[in-house]
Amino acid sequence: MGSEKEEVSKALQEAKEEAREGSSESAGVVGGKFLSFLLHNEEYGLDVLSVREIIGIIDITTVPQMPNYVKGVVNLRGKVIPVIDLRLRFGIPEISYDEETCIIVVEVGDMLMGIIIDTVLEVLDITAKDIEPPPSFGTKVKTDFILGMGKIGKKVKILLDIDKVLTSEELAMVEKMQKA
Amino acid sequence: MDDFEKLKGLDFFGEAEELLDSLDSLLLEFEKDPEDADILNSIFRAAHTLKGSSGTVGHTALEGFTHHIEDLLDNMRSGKVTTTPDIIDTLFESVDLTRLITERLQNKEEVSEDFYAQMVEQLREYIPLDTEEVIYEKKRALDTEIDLALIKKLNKKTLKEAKAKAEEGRKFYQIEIRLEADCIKNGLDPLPLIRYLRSDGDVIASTSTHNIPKLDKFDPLHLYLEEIKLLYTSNISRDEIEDIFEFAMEAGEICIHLFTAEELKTHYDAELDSFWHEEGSSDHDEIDEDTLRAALDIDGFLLDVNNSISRILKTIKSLEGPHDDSLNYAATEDFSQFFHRLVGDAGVLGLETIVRCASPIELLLQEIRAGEVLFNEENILKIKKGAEDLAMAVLVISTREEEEDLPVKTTTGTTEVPNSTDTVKSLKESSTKNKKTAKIKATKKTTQKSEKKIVEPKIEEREDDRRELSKDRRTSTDRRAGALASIRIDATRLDNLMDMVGELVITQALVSQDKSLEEVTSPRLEKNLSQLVKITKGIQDQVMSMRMLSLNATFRKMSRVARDVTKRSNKEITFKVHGEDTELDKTVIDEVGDPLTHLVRNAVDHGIETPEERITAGKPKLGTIELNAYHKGGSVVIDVRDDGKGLDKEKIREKAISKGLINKNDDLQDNDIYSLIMAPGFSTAAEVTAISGRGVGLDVVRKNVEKLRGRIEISSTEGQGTVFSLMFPLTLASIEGMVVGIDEDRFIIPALSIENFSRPKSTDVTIVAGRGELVEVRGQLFPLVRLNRLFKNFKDDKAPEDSILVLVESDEKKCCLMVDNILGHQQVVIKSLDESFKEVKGVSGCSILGDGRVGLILDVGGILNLTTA
Repeated sequence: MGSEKEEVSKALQEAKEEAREGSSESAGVVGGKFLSFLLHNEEYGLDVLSVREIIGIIDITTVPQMPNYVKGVVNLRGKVIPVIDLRLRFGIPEISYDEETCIIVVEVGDMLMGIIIDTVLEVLDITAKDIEPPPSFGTKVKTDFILGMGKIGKKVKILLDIDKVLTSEELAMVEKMQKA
Repeated sequence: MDDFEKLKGLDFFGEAEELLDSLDSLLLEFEKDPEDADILNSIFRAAHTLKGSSGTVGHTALEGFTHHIEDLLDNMRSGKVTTTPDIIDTLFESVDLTRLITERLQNKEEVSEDFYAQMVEQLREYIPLDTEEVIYEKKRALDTEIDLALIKKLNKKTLKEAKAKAEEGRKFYQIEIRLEADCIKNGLDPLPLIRYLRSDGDVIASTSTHNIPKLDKFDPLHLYLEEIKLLYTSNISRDEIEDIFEFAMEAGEICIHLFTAEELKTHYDAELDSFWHEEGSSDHDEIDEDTLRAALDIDGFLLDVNNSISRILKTIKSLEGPHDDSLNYAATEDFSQFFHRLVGDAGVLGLETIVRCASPIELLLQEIRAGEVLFNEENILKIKKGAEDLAMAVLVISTREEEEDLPVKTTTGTTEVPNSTDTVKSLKESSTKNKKTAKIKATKKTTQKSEKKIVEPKIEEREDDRRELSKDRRTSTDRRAGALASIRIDATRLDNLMDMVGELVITQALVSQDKSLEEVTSPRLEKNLSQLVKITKGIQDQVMSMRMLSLNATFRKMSRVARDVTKRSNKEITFKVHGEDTELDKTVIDEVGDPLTHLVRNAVDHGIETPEERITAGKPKLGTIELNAYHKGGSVVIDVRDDGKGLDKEKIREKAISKGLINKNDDLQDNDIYSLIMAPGFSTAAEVTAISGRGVGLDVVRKNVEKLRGRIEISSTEGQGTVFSLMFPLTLASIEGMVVGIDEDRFIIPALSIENFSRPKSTDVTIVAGRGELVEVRGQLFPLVRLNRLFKNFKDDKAPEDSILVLVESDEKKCCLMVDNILGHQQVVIKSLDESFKEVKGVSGCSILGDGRVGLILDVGGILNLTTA
């Protein structure tokens, strides 16, 4: 299973290079390369350009007074970065971490953040015509986090707008809600 | 090639910025004392250098504009233009415009002549018309100061001949040639030019050869002669000489000075006369061993002094924080020994400037040692100031080696040019009398250098020492260049280095703490590992210190801001700065300028009253604005203090209520009320000026400061003034910490806040119903804090008797933290927690521990607040 992660990692780096060499525009709704991963048996996608790297689960230091989905901080080669459990963020029940659990390190603005997901799948090309706008309701996930719905064959992947999922305003808002 | 261009550009813009900054501060000084010719000279020199470098890198627009500034300055220098406040204003404006041009160039924007044409007109207005011709001439070649030292150095026979020829009506020039070291590669060799000159007249050349390496390292395409000076007697005109050097002028700096008959008479004759009357003086060409040794030993001496001064400044710095009294004593001993020796040595070497700088400090230190004077902050400051002056003097003397004439005022009021040749000469004079002392001193220095101890050498060992000295001499000159030079580095490279060093430290720790090492019992491995630890630590310290910059430049900018705002308003203000040597991380230094500018501007505009209002209020007419930087606890504080009218609490309150920021019944502390003026949307400028005089864009200031993880505190007394205190953490500083463990979690408690450790008995703990637990330690009761309960999301805890209690203190409040075990004492690098964690109370940051995990650094003050709240 570990080797699978490495393969995806490699594909990710290649895809990123390609994406940079190409239009250099963010994939966004116009389509492009996405890193897909699994969360509670649902498939999600992230624009490869916002993904820095994929690491296995490592020791997480808990930070007090944080909402439950903020698992704490980890040491990413000398940089201390916060880590968020995407299950908890989306209100999906927590599961215990195993060797398939991954931390996807993403760039939000100019900072790095880790998001914990069940497992990574692959790097995909999704063209603009295969992406549909997010539905207004009807999913477990709040729609403003969603960039669009990517269709690959019969499967539908939820493409996430990682900035909206993780921005600190969002976090601050949630914090305030919890305090109130 | 592209990279090279980029580097060159980078270098240039960095240099230009520095020059502009120094121009700003020099102009400020000059404005205070327009009579000071020294400052004017420095201003001119800075403008000249700026012009020169912009020409070198091909920024013609900048060169063209700065040229006009230089012109005006030159006319002021020569007394053709009298300094008026108007001129100084114009100069300030020109510096600003230059800055603008530089910025445009840096952004690769085109700058046309029209851009600065108006300013040029303004500059030229001040220059009287009859000097126009002179200006034209100067455009082509710089005039140079008459170099008496050069004349002094010349062979008297040659001089006599030259003089005779000059009297025959021939022209007498002094020509200085400074070329780039790689000019030969570019096809420019100064030698044929000089030969060409010789075909029309007589050349006496002088240069310094100390840069020429040994033959095996000699690069025939490298010009080792930094500066060539010529005395030239000929019939040809200045223009013709300029033609000869036409190409050389592009690759370097050529200064031509035509001696007027008057100059010849006053300087040259006087020099010649004194020269002839000096008996037994040897010719320039035959440098005797004594002179040479003395000359080189001065280099060594200066290097030593320089090193010692940096050490002293470092010690002083450590004395500025909280410290042991025994340190004071040791430092006093150390300092007074150094200064005593310095005064003696410098006296023998004839370095009067140094003696003059050092002896007052020596006296002060002696008094401190004798207990007559206290070793208090004020005196530490004096010593520091003295040491800095001394460093400056050393710098001046050592850079003056190549006859760069920086006149130094002596106590007698006359101006002397003590370049190395002079010093050598004066040494020679004294050495004929005191030859023995000089030699003993010289040998003593060698022993000192090699053993770092003062040992009185035996006279018989002198021969050996002398040989050693010649060895030392070479290394010392080599080292000198390194000791005083600095290098410009791209900041991102430094950041990368910083991150990498962090990794290195962790990896090193991981290796040293590796479990499998426990089975290995090899003394050699252990030795090498401990060596590795030491080196890693050394690298880490060095890299961290590289990022620290002093607030000096920032404060200088603020002086300028204050000046400009004051000029525009109708206020009268003195601006003071303290603690400008306080160092802060580069990021903070870079970003702190904007909020400070804002605060200073506000203080002038709204804080300080008009002179009339002040007099009515019974205050001195002159308002005071002070910037003060200092260390407090783990932070650096920058105070912006004014003695103006202060904040009106009631009005702020009313305003805040009407804006809906607070409720009518809110009971607010003074602090909270003041903070309101920094709330976003508190008020617009006009309204605030009407009610309180503050609040203009303060929310932006607060945002900026908070971005740097700092905070602002405001205190104010109505009618007396306001203080804005900006507090910044030393983001990259490391702290001494105690690593403690609770269950699987690791925390770091700052060693400074720890009072003691204890293991309680179950009977020591008292539960106060509804108020928590108290524990008795050495007869005193303290609140017991279970971190795991406090931080909620941690697992359940143990009984107090199975735990260790750490008694911590902050702001005179104390409590006991309950931890499972103590894991060790270590120096940890503070990393700030991410932005989203800013709100976390009780945690001030985090650090990466030896095992690669992240440990949270506890903020004792925050924990105490949490528990008492």
